[in-house]
Amino acid sequence: MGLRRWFYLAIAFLCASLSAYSQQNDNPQENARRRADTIGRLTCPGGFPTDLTVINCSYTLRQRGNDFFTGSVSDQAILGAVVFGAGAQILKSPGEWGRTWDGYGRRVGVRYNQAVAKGAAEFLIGSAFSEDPRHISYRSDPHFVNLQRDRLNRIASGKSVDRDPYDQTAPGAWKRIGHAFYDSVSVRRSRPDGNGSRWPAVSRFVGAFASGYGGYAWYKRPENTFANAGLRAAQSFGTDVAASFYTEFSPDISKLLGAVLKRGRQQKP
Amino acid sequence: MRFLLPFPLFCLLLTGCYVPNKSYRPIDQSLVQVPLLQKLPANKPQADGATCTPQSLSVRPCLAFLEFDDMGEKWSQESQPVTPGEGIDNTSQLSNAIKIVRAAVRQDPRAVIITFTHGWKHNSKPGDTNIEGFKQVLNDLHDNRYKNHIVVGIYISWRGELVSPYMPVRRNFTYFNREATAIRIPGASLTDALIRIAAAARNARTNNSDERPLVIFVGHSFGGLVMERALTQATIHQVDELDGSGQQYQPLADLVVFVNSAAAATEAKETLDLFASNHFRYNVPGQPERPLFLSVSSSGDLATRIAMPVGHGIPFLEYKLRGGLRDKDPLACYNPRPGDPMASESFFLIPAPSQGAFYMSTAAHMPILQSHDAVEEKDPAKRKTCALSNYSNAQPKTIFTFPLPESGRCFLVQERDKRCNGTPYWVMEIDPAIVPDHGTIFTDRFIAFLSNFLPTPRDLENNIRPALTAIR
Repeated sequence: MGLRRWFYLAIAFLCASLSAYSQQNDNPQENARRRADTIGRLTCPGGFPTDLTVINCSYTLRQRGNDFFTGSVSDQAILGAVVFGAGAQILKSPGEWGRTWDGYGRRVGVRYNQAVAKGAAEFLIGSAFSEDPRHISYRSDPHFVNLQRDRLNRIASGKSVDRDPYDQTAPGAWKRIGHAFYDSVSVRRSRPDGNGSRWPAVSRFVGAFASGYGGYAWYKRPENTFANAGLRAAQSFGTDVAASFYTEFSPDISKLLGAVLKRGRQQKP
Repeated sequence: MRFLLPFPLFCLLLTGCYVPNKSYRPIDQSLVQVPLLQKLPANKPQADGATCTPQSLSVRPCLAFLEFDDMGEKWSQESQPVTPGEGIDNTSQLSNAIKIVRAAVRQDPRAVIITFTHGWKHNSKPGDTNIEGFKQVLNDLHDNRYKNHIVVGIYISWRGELVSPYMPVRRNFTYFNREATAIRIPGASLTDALIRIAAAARNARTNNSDERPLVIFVGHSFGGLVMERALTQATIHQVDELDGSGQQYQPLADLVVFVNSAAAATEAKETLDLFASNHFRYNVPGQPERPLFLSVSSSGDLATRIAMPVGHGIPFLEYKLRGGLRDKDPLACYNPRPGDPMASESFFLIPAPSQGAFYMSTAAHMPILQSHDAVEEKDPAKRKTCALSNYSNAQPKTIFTFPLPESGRCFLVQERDKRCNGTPYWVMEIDPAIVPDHGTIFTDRFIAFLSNFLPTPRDLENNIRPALTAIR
């Protein structure tokens, strides 16, 4: 057990060192050059085109820390643990914890522990690899926005374009579903212009497994199998996929719910 | 039982973390110049510019802060009347704001004076995203749209942020509390401040020419509710003095904009009824109608489309149980289009909607209150030019066309077919391509959209401005 503890500490130290190194790579002069004349022209991951207040899309250590705290430590994490703990209480999962206050406390505690473990792992790995974990929709993907911008610039200067920019503003459902999946298994590297290259979402995968194994100290030995931890990791990763889908389809969800709640409809003539 | 031990800690977390009820802008720092956006590392707030003085007005826009406490009183009170003249004496935030407006109008009779009232989850703490956004709007007006004119912004602040962002769930539950505050704040102090700012702008002219500053009031989210409550009674008091003979009247502001307003439609409905039943019109004589009040909300705004009705659900049930909501609430309609048989008539909408429907929605999301539609042009040929001349004979009447920046898309703002609301209180829902959600409003796209409702630079130079008339 002692050896394992040292192993975890070594991994944490390595991640922290890589994180510090990646922050050093954020060369201020290079960033300043890239930032020149970009006011209202940058679209950060998860941002909106032509936002006048954006001059730098870097996902900073401070932002990462804030996101870790609000998502994994704050009342949001507590509420998640309380609600999902209540669900597990109803299902009596795991069976050896009775439907008692003590059992409920354990169920809430294990979920909170998992959230903290997941957030901490994402924070460390994300910092180490300078990942920008903010989900983006197809239409606000900097890759797509820049393509559109290029097309419009070409049209403005009388050149031909591969596709009508207008036709690209309403992507089909499959394209969007594909993008939502793609955005959940990959992330962008943090860059001042918001257009960092994509790579596998290592921090999310590690975070999911950290969540899966985060319950080891709470569960009894029969629950602590690889299969069970894998299941918990899959459930945890499922929330990331759901978040990506929500980002992609939130305008449609809004439209749908808005139509349901609409008041004062006009009578048809 | 030891597993229950963390619960007291959780309870502590759930009851602390209040954002202090305080003024963030000492009087001597309540006037700041707005420098160009600095190219800083991400997440570093833009520093405030140097203190704004009458001498600096021609160089950069000026931003004045006016803060109100949780009860609606000014944080910096005056014990004496604001002294005449334009010398900044730092007696109060309002005094500073009035004097800088006076100085601006003395130096440039066509200065642009714009006030912004923020909404929920904001305040005047340095680095607040609404302050940064408002600064960029001032820069945009100063450097692009109204070049060569002095621009003064007044940021009206209240305690919109009650709980730290580190408690996101609890922070969202402050909705009810902050709505009650936004209803409480527009009392004598705020209304007085707005009237005096508008009066300072109007009365500071050095001659009797037609030159006058452009005064715009903007409220966002609960700031829309604050502004609506503060302004409508003041405006109504003045317009009620019109005798109905076609006499012209210059209202407090040239344009009042509510963006994603979180006010229930019951607020707007009373003003709409009054405008409709008194046949108010707002235009340059012989020209099309213009908006005096403009309420726009994005159809992608979850906060006003969904959270607001959900938030009003329990009070609605309480009102219903107590019999506090009328089943039929007559809505006055008026559509003054030239050549229209209803040009001088107003009537009640049939069937009358229920009062609960107005309470459970914002004005901009209620089709029966909408005066205009923002529709997207699908025809490739028309979309390419996006010219108003394409629609000169089309019905419904197109007010303007709007090429959406950086998208290749074209939108039209048209009068709504068979509309009830033809008053100077324009109400419309806009596409998420223009404003994507509740908070993202400081964008080139939205400013370009709003610019269509402002006087053109040429109109400003030629003193062409709409006036309010009542023809009975």
